[in-house]
Amino acid sequence: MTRSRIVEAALVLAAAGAAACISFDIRRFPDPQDLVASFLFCKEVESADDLIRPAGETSEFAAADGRVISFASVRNVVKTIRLRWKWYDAAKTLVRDTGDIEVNAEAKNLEVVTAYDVLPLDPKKVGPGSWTTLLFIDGRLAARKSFTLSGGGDNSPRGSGT
Amino acid sequence: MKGRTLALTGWVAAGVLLAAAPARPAEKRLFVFQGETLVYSYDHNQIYGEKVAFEVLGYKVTAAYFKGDILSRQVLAYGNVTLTKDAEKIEVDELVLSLESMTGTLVRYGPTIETSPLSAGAAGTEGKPEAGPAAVPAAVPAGVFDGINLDKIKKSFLSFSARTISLTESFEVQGTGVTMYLEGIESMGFKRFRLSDGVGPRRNGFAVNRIWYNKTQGLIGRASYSIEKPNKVASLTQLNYEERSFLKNNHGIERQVDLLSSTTLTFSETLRMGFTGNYNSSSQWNVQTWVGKTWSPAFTTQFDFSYNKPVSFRGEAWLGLQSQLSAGPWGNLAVQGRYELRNQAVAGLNYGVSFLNHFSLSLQSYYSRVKIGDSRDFAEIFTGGLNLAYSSRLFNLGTDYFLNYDLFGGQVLSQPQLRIGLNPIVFYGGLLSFSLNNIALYSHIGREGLAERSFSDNAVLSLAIQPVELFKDLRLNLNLALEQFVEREGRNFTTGGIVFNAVRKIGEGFSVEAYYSLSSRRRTRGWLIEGTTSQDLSLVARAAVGDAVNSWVSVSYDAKNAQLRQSFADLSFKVVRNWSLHAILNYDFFLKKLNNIDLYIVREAGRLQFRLIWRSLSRQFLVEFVPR
Repeated sequence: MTRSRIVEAALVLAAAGAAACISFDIRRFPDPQDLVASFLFCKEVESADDLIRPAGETSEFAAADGRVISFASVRNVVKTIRLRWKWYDAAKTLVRDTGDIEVNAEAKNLEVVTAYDVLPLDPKKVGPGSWTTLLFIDGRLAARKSFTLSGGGDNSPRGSGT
Repeated sequence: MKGRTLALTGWVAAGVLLAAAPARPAEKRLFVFQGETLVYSYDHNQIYGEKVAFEVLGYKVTAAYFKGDILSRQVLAYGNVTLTKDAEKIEVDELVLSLESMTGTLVRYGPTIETSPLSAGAAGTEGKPEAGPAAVPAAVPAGVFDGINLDKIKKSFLSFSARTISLTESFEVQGTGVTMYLEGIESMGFKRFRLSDGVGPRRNGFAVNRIWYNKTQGLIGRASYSIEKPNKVASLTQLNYEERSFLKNNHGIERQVDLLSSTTLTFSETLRMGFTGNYNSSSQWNVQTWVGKTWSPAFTTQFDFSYNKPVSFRGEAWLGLQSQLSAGPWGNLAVQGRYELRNQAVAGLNYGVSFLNHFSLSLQSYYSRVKIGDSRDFAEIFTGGLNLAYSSRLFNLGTDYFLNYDLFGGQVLSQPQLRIGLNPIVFYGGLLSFSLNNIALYSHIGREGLAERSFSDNAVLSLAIQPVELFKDLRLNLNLALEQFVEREGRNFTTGGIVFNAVRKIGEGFSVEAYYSLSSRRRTRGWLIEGTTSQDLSLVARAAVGDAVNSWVSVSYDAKNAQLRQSFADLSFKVVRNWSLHAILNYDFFLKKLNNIDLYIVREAGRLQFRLIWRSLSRQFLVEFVPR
C-alpha cells in the first residue's frame, strides 16, 4: 500500500515538475496568405461557378497536342497580387515570359484565385525533353514544376541527324 | 478509479518527460530554421515553411519559401533567396542543399537557367551564378520537392507547427514553440519538443528512450548509455525497468530489471575485442569476452570466454575457439570447439565445396558432451552428415548420409538417402509441364546388439497445364499429380489428385473464381485395399476498385455431402481521407455460427500506420502504431 502510494506520488510529481514544458499557446494550423494551393499542367480548363478548374491533368505532352496549360490556384488573397509565368525549354532557355499580370485589382478578400497560362506548341519549333515552368507572385518565385514533351523537332546543338 | 488515475498520470508524465528531455543532449544541431510559417509532418518526415531564415556554410539565408525532405536529406529554399556573409550579398531564386554532403546549388531563372555551386568560401567562381544548362538536372531535383506542400502536411495524421525547427547530426527533428496537430486539429502545445527520431547512428551520452504506462505491464522505463569513437570503441548499455506492484490484478513479480551491455574495442583492422554482459533481476546473468583476429581476408579466428548463470542451476564457464577458412575453389572450412571447466565440451566441423560446375559436396560433424541436469552423468552424442549433389538442366541427383551416435545410450542411427528429380519438361509450346521426383530412404537403428531396418520410396509425378484463355475474360487452369509411396514393410500408398481452377472477369476490377479439387489416397497391403476420396469446391468473388475497395469473399461446398461448409471474407474499404475499414470474417454453415470477426480501422500515415483493432475471439481491443 505504502509502495503504491510512493509510485503514485512520484508519477504526479514527475508530471507536475515537468509541466512547465507544456505550453498553453495552442495555435490553429497555419494558413498563410497567397498560398499556392495547386500548380499543375492540364490539357483543358473548365468553368466552375466563378472559378475555372483544370481538366485532363498530366505532366506528359506531345508536340502534336498544340498547347500546354499551366494552371494555378492561390489561396487567401487579400490584396492585389501580380502573377507571372516563365517557361523554359529542354535546353533551359526561356521561351515564354508573361510579364506581371495583375489579379484582384479591387483588393477583395478572396478565398481562392484561379488562373492559367497557355504555351502554344509548334511541332516544328519545340524540342523534346523536360521543360520547366515557374510561377512568380509579386516578383518572387512561388512554384516550379516540370513536364515532359515528346515529338517535335530536335533542337539540341547536335541537330536531329539523318 | 485508482488505476485510471495512475494511467492518466503515467501518460501525462511520459509525454511531458519525453517533451522535456531531448533524447540525445550531446548532439550538435546542424541547422536551426526560423520561419513565420513552419510546419512538420511526422508521417512523411517533411518540412514546409514561409518567410524563413537559417544559416549554412557561414551564410545567413532568408527566403520566401522553404521545403525539406529529411528522408532524402535535401532542402530547398526559394523565392527572393538572399545569402549574406560580411559584405558579400547574393540574390538568387533557389538554393538547393544536400544536408549529408553539406553542398549547395544556387539557381537563377533569367534568359537561361543559371546554376552555381555554393561553398563555404565563395558561391561560384566570382560569387555569382554561372550559366550552365548541362548542370541543371542534377542540381534541381524537382521530384523530391514537388510532393511537399502545406496542405499535404496538414492532412498528415500527426503534424506540428513550430517557431523554430532544428536538425541534429543524426537528423533528429526538434522544435520550439510547438503545437501538435492530430488530423490537422490542434491538440497540445509544447515549449520544446522532439518531433522525430533521428535515423543516423546513435551518438555518445545518456538517453531516456521511453517512459510509458500500460495496464498489463505497468510502468515501463527504457534508458541507454552509449559511447562511440569511430574505429576505436562502440559501446551500448541499455536499462529496461518494469514496475507492476501498483497494478490491481498483478499476480506475477512486482518489478523486473534488465541490464544489457555490449562493448567492442577495435585495436587495428585485424584485431578486435568485445565484452557483453546481461543481467536480469530474476537472478540470471551472463558475461562474455572475445578476441577476433583476421589473419588474412580468407582466414579468421575468434577466442572467447563466457560465464552463464541460469536461474536455479549452477553457473557454467566456457572457453571457445572458432575459425573459418575460405580456400576459394578448394572450398570453405569452419571449425569450432568449446570446453567447460566441469568437463563439458562441444565441437563442430563444416566443409563445403562446389566442383566441376555441376557438383557440390558438404560435410558436417558435431560432437557434444554435456551434463544431464545437475547429475554427474553426461549425454554424449556424435552426429555426422555428408551430402553430394549433382544438378544439370535436365535433372538433379543428390545423395545424403546422416549418422547419429548416442555414446551414452549406445544407440546408432544410420540413414542414407538418394534423391533424383527430373526438372519440369514442357510440351506443346509451354502448354503442358511434366515433372518427376523420387526419394529413396533407408534407416538402420542399432542398440545393444539389436538392429531395426526400414526402407521407403516415394515417387511424385505431376502434370500441369498452363492457364488457358478459353473465351474473353475466362481463364482455365488444371493440375494433375500422382504419388506412389512404397515401404519395405509392404505398406504401399497411391495418391492422385486433380485441381481445376477457372477465373471469370465480370467487369473492371471484379472477378469470380471457382476451384475444384479431387484427391484420392489408396493403401494396399496384400489383398486389402482401403482409402479415402475427398472433393472440395469453392467459389471466390473478388473486387479491387482502385484503392477504394479491395475485398474478397469465398464459400466452400462439400460436393460429397452436398452441403455448404465455410465462408471467409476479407473486406477492405477506404472510408475518408486516409482512413480505411478492414474486416476479416469467418462463418461456419455446419454450426450456423459466425466463428470469428476481426475489425480494423486503419489510418495510413506515411511512414507509420495507426490501427484500432477489435478481435472477437480474444475479445481484445488494440491500438497499434506500426512503423512502415
